[in-house]
Amino acid sequence: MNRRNLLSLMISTAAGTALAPALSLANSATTVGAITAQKTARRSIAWRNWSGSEECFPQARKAPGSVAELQELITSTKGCVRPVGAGHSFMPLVPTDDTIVSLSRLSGVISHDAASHQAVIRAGTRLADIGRPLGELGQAMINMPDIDEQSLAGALGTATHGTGTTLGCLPDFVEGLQLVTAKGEVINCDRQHNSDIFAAARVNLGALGVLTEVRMQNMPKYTLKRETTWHPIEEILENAESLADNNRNYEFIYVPFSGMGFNDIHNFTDEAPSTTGKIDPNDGSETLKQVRDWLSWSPKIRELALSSVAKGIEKEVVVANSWENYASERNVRFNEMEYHLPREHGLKAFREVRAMVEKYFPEIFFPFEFRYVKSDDIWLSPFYGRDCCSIAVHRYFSEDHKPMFKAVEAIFRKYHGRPHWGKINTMNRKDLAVNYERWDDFSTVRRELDPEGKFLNTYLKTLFDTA
Amino acid sequence: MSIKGLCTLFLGACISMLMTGCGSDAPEINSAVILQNAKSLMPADAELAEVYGRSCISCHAVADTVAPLTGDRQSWEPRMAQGMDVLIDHVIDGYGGMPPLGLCMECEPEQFRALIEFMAQ
Repeated sequence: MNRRNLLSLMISTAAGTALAPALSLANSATTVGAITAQKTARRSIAWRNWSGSEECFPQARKAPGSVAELQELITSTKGCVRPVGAGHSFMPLVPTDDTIVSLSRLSGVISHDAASHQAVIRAGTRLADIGRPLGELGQAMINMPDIDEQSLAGALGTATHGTGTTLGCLPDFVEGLQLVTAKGEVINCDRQHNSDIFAAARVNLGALGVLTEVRMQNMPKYTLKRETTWHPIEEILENAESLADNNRNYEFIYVPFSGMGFNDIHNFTDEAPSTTGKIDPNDGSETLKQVRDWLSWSPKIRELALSSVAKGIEKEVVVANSWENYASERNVRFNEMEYHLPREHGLKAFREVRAMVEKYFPEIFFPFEFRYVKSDDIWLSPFYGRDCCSIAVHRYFSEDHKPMFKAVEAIFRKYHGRPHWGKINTMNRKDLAVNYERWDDFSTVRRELDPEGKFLNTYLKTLFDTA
Repeated sequence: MSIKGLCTLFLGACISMLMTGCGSDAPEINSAVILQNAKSLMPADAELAEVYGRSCISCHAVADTVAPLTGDRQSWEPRMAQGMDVLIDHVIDGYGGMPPLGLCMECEPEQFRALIEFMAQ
């Protein structure tokens, strides 16, 4: 029995008296459909994140259809209100026993300006649903992450990013935004108006209020050529800095215990859309898991076997609209830790992570990911004031991630890394205050906007004070 | 060739087979028609159609996702055979690439049931 089922059983046992009439009704039902309907209607509905590492049983799950409805919801709701996106964060940013609010009915591109290449987009829009309508307006997002399931508000609130030494994280492309506060007020802000709120709200953890719309700086729509080539990891590490500086988007992936990885490069092109054969990353993950199960007893044979296959993988080339060429489908679940390190420490830290994992954690099979992100001036951005390398490690969702993540996190912290807000980390308020120069400024704005802590759940209360 | 070399070659061959899949020769004759059909279907009930449009359609009416396409009975039959309770559990808990609650955070089980029945029609 899993934890949720156990909780459900405990809840149903505790609520046995109240449920008795419903049970009687179910017993009297005559059709399978009716029985199913009664049975499902009784079920306590959990919210869970994508990997299943976080969950809660909120009293209310709401999806307002307008800003006015959202204002009414926030002012009339007792207890904690937590905005929820697509559930792609691994940190406990959402869980509450009170109310979760989805912005899924507040989605779509509202307006655009052809001269400045800006567009106002509702904050509940999924990243995957932005590209096509923007393209019809002649625009495209400047950069995108490698997963596009997230809501725009969730991606901005956690400083989600793509890769590219000249490209900031997604919030760096925000030129204005609208927020509904704990008092139900609608606040519009940009660099000129409510500039402190703007500096705080571009990366806000959902702790300032509920984001409703965003003015994004885009660019004329473009086509990207994506090239993926496999190499020995030492060759990749030797060339990474140069490749990062000489290509628009550059990252590399390393398959642990293989000695091999691949460079993933995107550049502008005028070529017509085309594609070579591609390895499905989901099939690849399952294969690596299988190989781990067979060969983890011998790292040497495991590396020989994996590298012999990797060396035979041909170059992949995909030419497509930008918004179709950044992200991949991820159907194999995992938990993830990612830290953003000062660029000068990135490769050295990576080598240490690799050595440590391959020495002490033979059960690991998910690849490591290494990306580049440009600095910005956003108060709670992990990229504040410094160009970064981002290193991510993963663990299969049903396997214990803690021992490996703990060991890797020690390396990340040694090199002054700041964690991705949506990915697993153990930094507390004191750690974060040391790592973020504008931590106190953010906390002050937060207290002013939400003095009673309506938007603070258990986790966020460990980070921020109320008035 | 050494024994280690032979083992490596054998394992490499096995892994290659895994990485290239099982080489299914299943005909793709109707895939375009099935996809077109999926794109054209929409629940008659306006409220359900609104939920379907913002939560389900982005995977269940799009090529190259592993989600069963709306109206593709052949894909849905083995799933429906598991029973509605199991399918609703999969939606609520998440399953494979599908996020928990199927991107409809406010939906009730009855709505999930109606959406599954619509897609499996």
